[in-house]
Amino acid sequence: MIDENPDLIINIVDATNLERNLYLTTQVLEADVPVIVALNMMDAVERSGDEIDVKGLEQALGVPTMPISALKGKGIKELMARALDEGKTKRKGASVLASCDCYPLIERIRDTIAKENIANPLFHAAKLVEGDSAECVRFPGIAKSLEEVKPMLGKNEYGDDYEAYVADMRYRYISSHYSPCLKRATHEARLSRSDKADKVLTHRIWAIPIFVLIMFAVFHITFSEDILFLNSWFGVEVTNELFASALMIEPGDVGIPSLGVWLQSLLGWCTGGLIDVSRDGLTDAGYAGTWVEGFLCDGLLSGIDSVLSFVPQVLLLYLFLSILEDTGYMARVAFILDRAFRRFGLSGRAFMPLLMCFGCAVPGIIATKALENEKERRLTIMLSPFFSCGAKLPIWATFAGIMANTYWSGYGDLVVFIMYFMGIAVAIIAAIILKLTALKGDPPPFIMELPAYHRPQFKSTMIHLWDKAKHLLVRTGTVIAVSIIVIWFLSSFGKGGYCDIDDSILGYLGKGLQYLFYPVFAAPNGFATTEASNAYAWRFVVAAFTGLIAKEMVVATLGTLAGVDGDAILEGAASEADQTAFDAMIGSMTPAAMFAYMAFNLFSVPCMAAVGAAMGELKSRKRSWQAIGFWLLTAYVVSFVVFWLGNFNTYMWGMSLAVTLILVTLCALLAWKVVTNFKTKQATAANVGANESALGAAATHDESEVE
Amino acid sequence: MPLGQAPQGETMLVVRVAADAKTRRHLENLGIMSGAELTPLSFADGNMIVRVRDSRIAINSDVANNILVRKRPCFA
Repeated sequence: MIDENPDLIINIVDATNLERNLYLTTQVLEADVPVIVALNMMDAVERSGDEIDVKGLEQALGVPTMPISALKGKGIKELMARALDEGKTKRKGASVLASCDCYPLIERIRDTIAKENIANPLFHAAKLVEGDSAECVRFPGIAKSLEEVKPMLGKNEYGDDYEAYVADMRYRYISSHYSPCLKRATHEARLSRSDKADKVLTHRIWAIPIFVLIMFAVFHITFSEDILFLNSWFGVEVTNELFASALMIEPGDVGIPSLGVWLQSLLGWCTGGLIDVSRDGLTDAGYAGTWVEGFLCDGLLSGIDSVLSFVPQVLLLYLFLSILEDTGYMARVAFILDRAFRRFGLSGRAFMPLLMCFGCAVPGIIATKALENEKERRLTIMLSPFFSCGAKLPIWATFAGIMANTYWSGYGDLVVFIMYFMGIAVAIIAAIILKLTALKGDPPPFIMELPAYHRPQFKSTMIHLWDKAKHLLVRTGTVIAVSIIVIWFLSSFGKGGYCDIDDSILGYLGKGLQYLFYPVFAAPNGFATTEASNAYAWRFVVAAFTGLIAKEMVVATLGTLAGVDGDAILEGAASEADQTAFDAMIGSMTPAAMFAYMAFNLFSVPCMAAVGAAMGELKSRKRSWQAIGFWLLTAYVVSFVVFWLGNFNTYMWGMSLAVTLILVTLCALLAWKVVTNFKTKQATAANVGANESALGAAATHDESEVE
Repeated sequence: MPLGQAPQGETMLVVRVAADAKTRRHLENLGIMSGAELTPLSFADGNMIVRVRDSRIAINSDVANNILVRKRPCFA
């Protein structure tokens, strides 16, 4: 800029952050060029209630200073007119460092440069003292002698870090000479109320329980089938038929659905109706039983139906998160969770993306953009599928229902809870392992501005919601819809053309791959009888395979493979015979195999849409494949462990014992390593703290002597 | 003394920010630089919230221990 010999410099300054931005101005003023300072964004300054004394600032700076607003086009004409005038004059550079200890040195260098007839000697001299690398290359001789002179000048409070010293001097000048021209509006009333709220909400002990309570409320309103536990605790039942149908339940069903569940049923009812209408229409037109009907009704419409089925709940969850974000609470949550997350190699900032994964992994993965540190971003993306998303909930619900009927009557909720908990527990273990191996290094320092609490504004809440929801709608709407059509094709066509799923490409694939899944759930001891395992094992494998493409397909595929309408099972609208056939197939699995099967679905590749999102964020093909491999490996290992632990009492007990012992040893080793790691870190932190305080004491001492 | 050990509610003067260039720039953007005044508002396990001018900044213990502060002289 300086080398182009400008007639005039217009220095445009962001007036909303005046002190920070005048730093550059102090450097520009050192050039021998006329300068005009333009204070931009004055409209925003006025709106915030702050005041800038432009005339006073002009005097302090010693150059013309003009208020403008580029956004509104205000003050630009006046600025240009003054610039034309000012450009005709001459100006000699002046430095705000004139009263500093290092100024004699700058003056000497300035004179040396001036002798060589180079323009703007003062500007170059100040830069050289700062140790600016470009200037040192340009004036190697001066730079070299400076290096020799500097140690002789004695140390200032920055040691020999002249860059920091000069920066500090500039800032000090700004705050003593320029800052008085800025009058900030006080927001103290609102802030002190905010501070009071923070006393409770970020309290050393109460912060976490309050946070857990708020999260529980959010999840309860979104996912609960029994609002406020009215049924299980107080025995409340809906018997009135009209009232029940308004709630989208059958009279006598257990529990009143929460808002999220009700919205989901409502949407399912609409799309289900649409499918029935089109099926009737196609039958009338003579397409019944052909691939046209199959494609339209079983492929396309059912696909859209199963994608849409979990959208209301995810949107509701995101609405609550957006409201919490808009009030300013989410910034506090990041702060209070930071310490806990730090042990697993994450910072508190990773909390929001991971929480979003409970709704859908796609927006969760995209939200990792907000994480600056690359390792932390990778780690967060790799953990994202372990936070059970909305599309996986129907799988848990289906298995939990059958388990509750067969084994533990009334504990269906517990099974669902175990799955969520298992996800979080494995995420923690996986994070620790990754931190100790592939992704070594500490999470970035946590520095975050906490906005004052305020009532959520409709507009900004909706903007936050749209930020989260657009990826869900766009990606799942495209990628998953296409994936579902692909699955439909693979499961409807075989050697003989349009056929049953048994003879389809997918059927053959499942029959071939089932041996690969023997150790994790498909072994004969995973089923109540050996005949059952022969008949069913490959079907579970096929359903898990469709789950890699889209998790909402798992239950639907299991239904199709049991020879019943899968979507009807999902919506609880299947005929009694169908339901019995379906239950018989799932019920043939032992509980251990069921848990192992669910674990496989939980930890493996979440869906093609999430893989696409991960590829977009990881920005590397290799890393994306690593993530996919990591998910498959975790799924295989965890379901293996679950399966063998569950088969502890069967004829395989010897092997179970061996596996269990190895695992326990591994976990113990790991835990020990984490604990010792943490302790040494604390010790070093304490040492550093002690050293620094000694330093601090010395600094205070020096200064008191001066005074 | 390190900021992490500063008394709660008392306004302190930053003497020095001992951090890498990136963290220091981040802190400067938020108004934490030598010469700035800050007031510790609350502590939670070494992590803390400080008041800087009109804003509230949350920082973790590592950062807090690298910011050296001293008491503000009462006549300044």
